Amino acid sequence: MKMTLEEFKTNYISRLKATTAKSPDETTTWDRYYTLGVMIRDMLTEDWVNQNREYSNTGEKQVYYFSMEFLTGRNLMKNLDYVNVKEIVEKGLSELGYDLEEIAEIEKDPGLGNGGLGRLAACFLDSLASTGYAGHGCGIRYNYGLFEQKIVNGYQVEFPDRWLSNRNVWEIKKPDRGVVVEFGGTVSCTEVDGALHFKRHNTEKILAVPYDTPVVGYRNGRINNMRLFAAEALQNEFDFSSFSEGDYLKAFATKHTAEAISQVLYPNDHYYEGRVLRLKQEYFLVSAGIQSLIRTYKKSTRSMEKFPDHIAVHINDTHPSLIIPEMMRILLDDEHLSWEEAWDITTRTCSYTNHTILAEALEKWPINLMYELLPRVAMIIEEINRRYVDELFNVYHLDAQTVDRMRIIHNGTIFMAHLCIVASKSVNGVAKLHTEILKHRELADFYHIYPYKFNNKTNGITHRRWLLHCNPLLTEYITKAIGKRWQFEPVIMEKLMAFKEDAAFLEGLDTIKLANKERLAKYIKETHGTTVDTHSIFDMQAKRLHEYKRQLLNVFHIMHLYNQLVDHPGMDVVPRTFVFGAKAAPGYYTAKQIIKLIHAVADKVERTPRVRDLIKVVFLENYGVSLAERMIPAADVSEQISTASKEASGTGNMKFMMNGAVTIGTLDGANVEISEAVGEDNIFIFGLTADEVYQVYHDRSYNAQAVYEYNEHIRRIIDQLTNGFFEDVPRDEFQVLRDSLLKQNDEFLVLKDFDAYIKAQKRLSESYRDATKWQQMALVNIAKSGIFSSDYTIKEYAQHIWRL
Amino acid sequence: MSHYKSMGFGNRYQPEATSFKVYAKDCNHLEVCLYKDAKTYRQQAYPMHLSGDCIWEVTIQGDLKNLFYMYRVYRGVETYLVTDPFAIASSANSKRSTIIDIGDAAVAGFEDDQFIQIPPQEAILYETHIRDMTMDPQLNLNYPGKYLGVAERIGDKNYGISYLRALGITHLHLLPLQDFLSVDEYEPMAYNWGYDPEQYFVPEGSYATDPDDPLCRIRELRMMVKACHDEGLAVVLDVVYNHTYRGGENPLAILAPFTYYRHAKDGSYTNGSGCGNELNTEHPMVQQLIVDSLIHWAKVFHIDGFRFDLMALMDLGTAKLIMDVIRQINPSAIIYGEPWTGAESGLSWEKQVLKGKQHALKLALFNDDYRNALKGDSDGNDHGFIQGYKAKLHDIKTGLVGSIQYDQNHRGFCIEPWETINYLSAHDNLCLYDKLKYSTMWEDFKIKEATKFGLSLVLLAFGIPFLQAGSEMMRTKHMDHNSYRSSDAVNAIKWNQVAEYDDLVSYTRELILLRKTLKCFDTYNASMIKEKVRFIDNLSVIAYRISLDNLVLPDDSSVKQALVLMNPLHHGVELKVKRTAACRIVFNHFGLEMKGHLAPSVEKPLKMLAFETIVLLS
Repeated sequence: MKMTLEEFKTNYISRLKATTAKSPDETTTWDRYYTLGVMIRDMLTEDWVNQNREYSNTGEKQVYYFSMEFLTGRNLMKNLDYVNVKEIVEKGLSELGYDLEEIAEIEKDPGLGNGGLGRLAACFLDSLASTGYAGHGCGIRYNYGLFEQKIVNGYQVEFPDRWLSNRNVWEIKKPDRGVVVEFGGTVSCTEVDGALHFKRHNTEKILAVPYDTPVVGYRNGRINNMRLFAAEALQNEFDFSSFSEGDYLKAFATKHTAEAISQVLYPNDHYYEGRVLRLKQEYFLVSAGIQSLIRTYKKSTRSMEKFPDHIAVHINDTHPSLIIPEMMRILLDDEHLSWEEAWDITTRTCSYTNHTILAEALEKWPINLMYELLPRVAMIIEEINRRYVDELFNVYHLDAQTVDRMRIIHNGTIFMAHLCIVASKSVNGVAKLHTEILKHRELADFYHIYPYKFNNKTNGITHRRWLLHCNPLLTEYITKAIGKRWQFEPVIMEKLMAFKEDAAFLEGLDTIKLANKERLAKYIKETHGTTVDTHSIFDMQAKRLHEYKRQLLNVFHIMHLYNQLVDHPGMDVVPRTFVFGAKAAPGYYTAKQIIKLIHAVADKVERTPRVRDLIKVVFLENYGVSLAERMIPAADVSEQISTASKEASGTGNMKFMMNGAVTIGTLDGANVEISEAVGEDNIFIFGLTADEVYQVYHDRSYNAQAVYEYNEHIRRIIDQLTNGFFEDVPRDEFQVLRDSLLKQNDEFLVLKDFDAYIKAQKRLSESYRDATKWQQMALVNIAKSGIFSSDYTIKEYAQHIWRL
Repeated sequence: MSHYKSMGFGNRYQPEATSFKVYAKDCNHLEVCLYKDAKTYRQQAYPMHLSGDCIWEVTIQGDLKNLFYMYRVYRGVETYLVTDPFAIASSANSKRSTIIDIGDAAVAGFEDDQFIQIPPQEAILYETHIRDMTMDPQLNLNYPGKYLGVAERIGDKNYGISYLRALGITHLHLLPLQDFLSVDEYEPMAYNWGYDPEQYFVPEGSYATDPDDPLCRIRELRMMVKACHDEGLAVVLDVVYNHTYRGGENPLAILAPFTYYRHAKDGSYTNGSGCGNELNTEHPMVQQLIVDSLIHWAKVFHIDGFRFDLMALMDLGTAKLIMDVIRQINPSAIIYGEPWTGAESGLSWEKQVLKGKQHALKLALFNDDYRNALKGDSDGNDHGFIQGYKAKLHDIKTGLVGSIQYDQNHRGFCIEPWETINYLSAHDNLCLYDKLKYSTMWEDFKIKEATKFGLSLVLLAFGIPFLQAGSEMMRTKHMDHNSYRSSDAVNAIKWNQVAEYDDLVSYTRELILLRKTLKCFDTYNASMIKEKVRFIDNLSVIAYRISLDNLVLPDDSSVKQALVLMNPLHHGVELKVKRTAACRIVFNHFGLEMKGHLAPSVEKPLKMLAFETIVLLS
């Protein structure tokens, strides 16, 4: 994309006038943003179109990554950088009297995801494009993404996420590529030429309209596609006769019902919400996506038989699992293939990633509901199940008990995970530990019969967004030290290890971290009103609010420090600023109370003169991609303290590592691999291992009440929840938290790991005092973080699973 | 001769190495932690070793100049980080002690600066606060609220040191300059008297132009002292060795629990100061702290005298030690204190420095008896002699003769007259104008006359006179009886009042000049007073004769006697005074005129106005 400074300026100004019909000095920042965005998008379009054509022509194998969530973050700066026009644009705008950063702030985060899973999908799309693979995303274009979080009086309050209010410059609506998705109705079965033909009748038809967003590769000319479907009513959107009869609601009923499907993202992370609308959303995505890609495929003259050689379909968690029956349906009912042929194609095309073992996250749908909503799909699932169970008995010779555990449909419920495992050619976990847990514990039965399907693909993060973009100071520093190549091949950062004993280099790292902390401190002052000490330890926990992620454990550490300081005035404690960023699912009461607790602790600290000089607790509102980009470069400590075995991988841990923060965590998820990469001297590991956690559950020997009784520190903290210690809060406010620990026996072992955590934190504080030691740890973390770039993860997916 | 031996706690800097010595009890382990600046938490720790009973030392090689340090105390499972109570330099807000080369804080001409040699008997004390003196917005000083502000000159405007010199006072008494915690040194508008000590060897940072530079405040204080000394003014510091701002978290308490403070049997702090704790002055370590720091102030800053806050909380033994040490350094040092506690003390009564004990200690004490007699109680409606409470006459007379054992009926607490500090008001409680106004509701004109009367009763009495700044210019604090942290609006002296009440200011100046000229007040001891000062009783006015026969007055060797007449009545009187032709009035409501106005016809009675003071010489 070649463009000179003058060309840019001229084009920009003329477009500005054309788009806004105002003279440039009258334009608002929004006008300028919109114009710039459209301009860049249009620049991309040419290459994008050519790319698509090329894909069709060469028949290069494409992967379609289906996900209910894509948390892409903002695009403007990224796209400018990826097509290498950022400097020209910045300069040009500046010469015109405009500020690029100010303009970029206008773009709203498209919050089309909950947390790690959605962000992973976005990182993968970025890596697919940047490593040069043909990989496209398929998702839903929600009108309202994940809620906007505001804190009112210490409580989380949810507001609609109006991400489209500043318009989405990047998408292109393709109404002519719409696909019809059918719900409900009945299924008829007729015999034609000795074969059974199934047809659906009287279905409710919804139009799925695709919106395509370009996914740009990093300076390699590659542009892939992210297709998000929006729901529209198909027939008579407006029932005029009802309207003229005066029945306004009925007149719009159809339209509203149709559009409801893609209205809003379900805001649950690691929790399955068994609502009909969610099921509709899942099928909507899947049907639109599969129909769409088959239609594209059929434009070429290739046979369906060759389909798996040209298309790979990836199922991101079980949410899009209806891909399997839907693909079968199309192949059977529309392409009139035999079951065996259809099954062969489906199982060679689809691959599945499991993201969690938490029971409450496993999707299960009542078969009756499935029959009512998607009768043909239900039939197909039943058939799959029937053949599969048959195979289990007759080919694998399993006993009835085992088979019952493994059924796809059991006791009137469809287990979507089982469906995915059975029908996919590959089942991967997202970290070594997680995959081992799947193979030997949670999915052991399946591993036993399909060992060849199971493999590990440790998650990754795009080092472009998570280091180059959000931490320019560090990026520049690394480049000066080891050259530029690492930006394309991040493992080259390993070369930084040569500087481990270089005092001047280490000091430089310290200076950068301090500068990043100053920036965050400024942001905190502006948005939160609090002044923080930039020399203190910036201790961060940034992730969804969940009992298994144990923000509660973190809060208990703070309360413990508080108690110590009050008991021993003048005690030597390295000052800390605790920063939290977290959204709780709106229906998750306990999580929301933990947010309130964090604020109550923050208030208490502020009121206590000696303590407030040493500790600060800051909860930053509306954690999302953009806030993460501000927070992570400024962190000294990364809290990754989930109960071992529960966090499949984590990806925040890798982001912090890459930005020079030192991790304090359990041996859970990808923490294990981080620990192996940096060595135990450069990380603070504590607490029960995954095996030990399983043992504790198995033995049923853990008694939280006993811990409460013999450990005075814990007892004091738990009592403080409800004894009036928090002055402005009613005493029963945190009863739920107290009960979850004592009455429900502390399911996530917060009390069990407390002592080990406190000890580890103390060691961490001591290490922080020694500037050299700490910066060495930071250096090792940065140097070894290259392997966690999603580029490598994608390469593995592409080579081992999708065979691109 | 003092037998005090300093144990040399604190840090000793040499370019090749610095050694640290600290007293610490009940700790398993002690470290010196060095920091490269005042803000970072990154440190290098060096373990110390026990070299004696509770004495820990270490010497660290290398040039540690301008590094910051703290002591890390390991006690049981806890660790504590504290500053060095014996450090002579600190970062802003007393956060970290600093290692400095005192040579870097040199000030031009300071090596030649000497103590002002004015013996205590000749002292005329003037008490003020740095902000009170410099924060008048109309002054347009370059350094308001700072040490340097005190030293500034504003053309020929009546301000500051030159004003005070012209007024005739000899000693400038400043409210606490030892580092205190109740003010944020970065906050330009913060006000506090400063009775909240933290680091006894370090000057307060909020009075320096750059609190972050440990050397700045040392230099600037020296510059201020030099400016005073250049004008011939001595500097007295208000020192607060009776308590620290914080009890439990003070470095003293953390380094050596149950050592530096007095405790009740249950271990709690006794509260003799009313501020939460009291220093255990009898303990040899507290004596090290007090004496070493006083030596530091005297030697490094050339402080001429010390005023001890709540001196009754100090035991007699320590007070004696202090006197000996200070007098050894500066024989003409003036030392005085408040002979009372703030509240019930842990120090037993017979050990306290109370009125009566000063003679053996050779120091002076604030004379609250005379003060109360003069103006009544400190904050209320009570009347004293000035307001018209005639029954106080007896106490007034006792005070006028220096509160000595004058005769059967007039016995003060002093043996010698220089043991009493005579005063009308000080920083505590209502200032003079406010008290007079509150207790009488007189109009300003009458208050001014009453003020003159009061000033005469102090300046023409035997004993050391003490003036609160502004008494000579009708200074009001708007009835604020405890303005310790009120704003500058309440506390700052309004210097245009010097011009506005020029007559009162001149009156004061001339009273002071008269006092000095008569010489008797500077030289007579108790026996001489008993011999040479006689009251004339049964008059409606105060009258006393002072025989001056062994003195030679400047300009006039023929003067043998002075007669002081003071009219306490609120109306004029006529007196029949037997005068010879050689009598002359040198002082009356018009002021001082040494050549005197010849008394009007010797037969005619002397007319005195309300509150007037008349002095005749013959």
